Amino acid sequence: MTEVPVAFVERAIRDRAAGKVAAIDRGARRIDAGRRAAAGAYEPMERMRDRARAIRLDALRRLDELLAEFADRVADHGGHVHFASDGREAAGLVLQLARSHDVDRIVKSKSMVTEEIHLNEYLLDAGLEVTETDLGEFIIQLADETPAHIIAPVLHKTRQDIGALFAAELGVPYTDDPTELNDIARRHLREIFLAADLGISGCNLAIAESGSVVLVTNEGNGRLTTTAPRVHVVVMGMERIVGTFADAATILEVLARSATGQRLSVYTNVVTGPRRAGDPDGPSELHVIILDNGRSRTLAGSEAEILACIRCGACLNVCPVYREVGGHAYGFTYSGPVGAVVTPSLQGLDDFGDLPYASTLCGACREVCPVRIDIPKLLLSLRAQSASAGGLPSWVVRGLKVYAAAATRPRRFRRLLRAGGLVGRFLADDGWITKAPSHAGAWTGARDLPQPAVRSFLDRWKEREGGS
Amino acid sequence: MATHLFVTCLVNGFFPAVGEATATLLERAGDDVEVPAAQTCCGQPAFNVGMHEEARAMAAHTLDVLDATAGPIVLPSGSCTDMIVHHYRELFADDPDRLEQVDRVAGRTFELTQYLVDEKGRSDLDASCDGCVATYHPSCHGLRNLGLRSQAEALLDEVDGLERVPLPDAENCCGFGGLFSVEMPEVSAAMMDTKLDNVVASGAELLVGGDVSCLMHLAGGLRRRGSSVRVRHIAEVLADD
Amino acid sequence: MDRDAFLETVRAATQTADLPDAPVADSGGGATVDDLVEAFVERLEATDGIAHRVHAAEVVATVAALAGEYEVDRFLAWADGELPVLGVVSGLIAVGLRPVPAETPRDRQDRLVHHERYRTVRFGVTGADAALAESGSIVLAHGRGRPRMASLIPLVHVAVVAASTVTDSLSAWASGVDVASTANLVIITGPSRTGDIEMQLNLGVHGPKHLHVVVVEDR
Repeated sequence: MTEVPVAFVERAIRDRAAGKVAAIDRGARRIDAGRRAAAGAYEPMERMRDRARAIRLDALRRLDELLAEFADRVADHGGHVHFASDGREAAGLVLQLARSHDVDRIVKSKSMVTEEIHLNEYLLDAGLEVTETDLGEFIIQLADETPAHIIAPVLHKTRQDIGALFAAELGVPYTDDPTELNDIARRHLREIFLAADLGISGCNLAIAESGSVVLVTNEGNGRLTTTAPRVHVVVMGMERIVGTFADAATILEVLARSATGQRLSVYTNVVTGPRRAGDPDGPSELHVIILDNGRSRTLAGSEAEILACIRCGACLNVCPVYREVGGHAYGFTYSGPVGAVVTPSLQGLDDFGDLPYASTLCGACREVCPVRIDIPKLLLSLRAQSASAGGLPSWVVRGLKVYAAAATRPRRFRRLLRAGGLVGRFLADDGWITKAPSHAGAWTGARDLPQPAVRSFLDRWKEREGGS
Repeated sequence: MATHLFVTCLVNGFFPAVGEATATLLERAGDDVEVPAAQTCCGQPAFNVGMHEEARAMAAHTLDVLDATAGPIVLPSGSCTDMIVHHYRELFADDPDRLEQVDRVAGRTFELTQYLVDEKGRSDLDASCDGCVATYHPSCHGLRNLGLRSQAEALLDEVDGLERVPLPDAENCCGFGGLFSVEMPEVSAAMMDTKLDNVVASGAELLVGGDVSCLMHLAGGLRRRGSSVRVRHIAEVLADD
Repeated sequence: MDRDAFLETVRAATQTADLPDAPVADSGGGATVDDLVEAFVERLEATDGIAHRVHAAEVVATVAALAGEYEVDRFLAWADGELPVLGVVSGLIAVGLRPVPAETPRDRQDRLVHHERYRTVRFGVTGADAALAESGSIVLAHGRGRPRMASLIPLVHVAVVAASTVTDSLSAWASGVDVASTANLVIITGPSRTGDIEMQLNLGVHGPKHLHVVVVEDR
């Protein structure tokens, strides 16, 4: 973080001024109402959360074993596994596969990890045609934007925005009726699906024991992407693994409830290897790219717990900061409380040192997380690293050093309070300061500041107790 | 055995009346009140920005001051109580001696409403507030980290003449967040505005809370708006008889 | 990157990982349901699916009536022997509907030609291997005679499921299943849906808009 305005705040101010945030607040609250209703109606929710947490933490503890087992099973079923240490390598592998299979057209189902590694730009630059097929992601791609929410990418857009976008980009007559817009997208994308050579998906969960990839969608684009083309490429963050199908089932039950308030998502698609002998359809080839991209560094450190995240987005919907600033303020693929931990963990504090501070530590995220990740604790841990690395504004460091020195010496502390009282008398009018100098001006820019007590509590108490 | 009042730095420096009201309440609940004279700050401001060395120094001082007492320790703040009860353990994770001290101190440290209702079994403190229409904001650390909300509401419901009206979206953070309020003032103020809109919508003429930190932020925002809604710490409301 | 090097990096990371202790999870399972079939039907309809509870002898007529209702003349289906009751496919042919071949060629060009047929197929008929009462879901294991596209590409999906295969919940059902026995298993919970545009619910965004489940009483 620097002395000048923080990037997070600048982006927040920009998006608020652009009127993008009200729709996000409304949408997030609606999604959360669905979550609350679904969780409330589900008697075993609390113990399923415990089980889901135990499953995820256990998987992280033996991540290397599970990944090895998974890779062996994928191969047993005729699939191919690739390992990529970073996004560049993963994108390169996808491009190589597309070239070696004589691919022109690629369809993609919604995947945060491919957003994270900017896969689309890479493939488009290489001259391939790549189409996002999730309705929200399709809209994002047409608008050349990035998702504003982990599970609801176009939460910031109105139907009018989308109608105008479709009219301009797809050459259809303007409509802002969501059902008509939906039908336009269905027709348009159906043609692309049927002509596609290669499908790229992410991976909600991988199952070590069976070598399966689990993909969850509501629209069915995830199934079409992994059924229609000849080749299916999975890009999988290496932490997305569990031991068994039963483990996956537990996760899926809390995931759908937490993400969208559903008991299960519409399509839970379990892919175990490519099409087998006798299968009438499905891709002839399956490739799984297992991606590190900063994850092993995160795992090795004090934010390892964040890798238990199952990407439901529930923490975004309840976050009072996210609801005021929207997803783009976070400056990267992952937004909200989870983004404030994941992004600096994966990408480093140098570029994203402001994100751990973009929170009041209110704890609403921890309360709803289906795997009970202690996000405030992880934010505090990142703040400590940031502070140690010199990431704090110098006035904060100076101020707190002076304050700490006083607060460990009671007499000096009293003197400090008395000095505050004197300054307050000078600045205040009618008990309030409306324009404070220096960094206190950041306070009075937004609200009045009560006048510091002329005599502190301790001074008054001493007098009451008959001291001097 | 006396009850020890740790008033917190903000009460000490900005709101001495809240400290005095807290002492009055404890006395009304039958306790002898003592105020450790060497108390300063629990260290939370430094801890929350990640300056652990400074936080540890302040925490160690606070522990030494409090460990020298016997009997309950009461704070008119959920946030500072949470700091002592939960975060000291993290700060001193590598220091067994300090951890023992944390255990001794944290086990007898309580937030005011928690102490009155859960420990003393008192919700009626003979308070009155004639014609008051009040709403209560449950501050986040008390609410989520200490499980506090019903205690304050029970206490307010026993105040003669006070009508408590619900605060819409009460559990949404007010946007104070410690140094967040000056490091990201625009975001903090946006959250404050959401909270204040709800305060106004509640119809209350008095906003009550248990943490002066959140309250000074909200009171400052109300004053800037020119609102007539008054803001008081729950100790002040309960101390009025 | 080389597999061994990759996994070694991961292994090293697990050694220093600062992970909290896992909670001791209650051994209790997911939700349990009293009257399974009734609960399944209720949940299916809550997710915008439509249930038809019939006896085995009524299945063909029920599916044929649906084909008539949607005014379709062609259908994409699982093989007759893969449905819980025999004669559904032949029954549809007998009332004048034409089956669309399900075998997708592996060759690139042939595949694209084959896909042309999918543009107009509006009626899909499948079996289901199980149903989950708690979520209103049906489970389809794909394989020989069981095309994935039949439950995916048409506007209308009719699934025939035996009442005896209705079970509690996904987590209850999952523990006894060898998921690797098929290259593709799908759990379907209602028709295709989206809320992406202003969170307004829309059905049939990519998959079927209409989901009918014919529950055959076989108990």
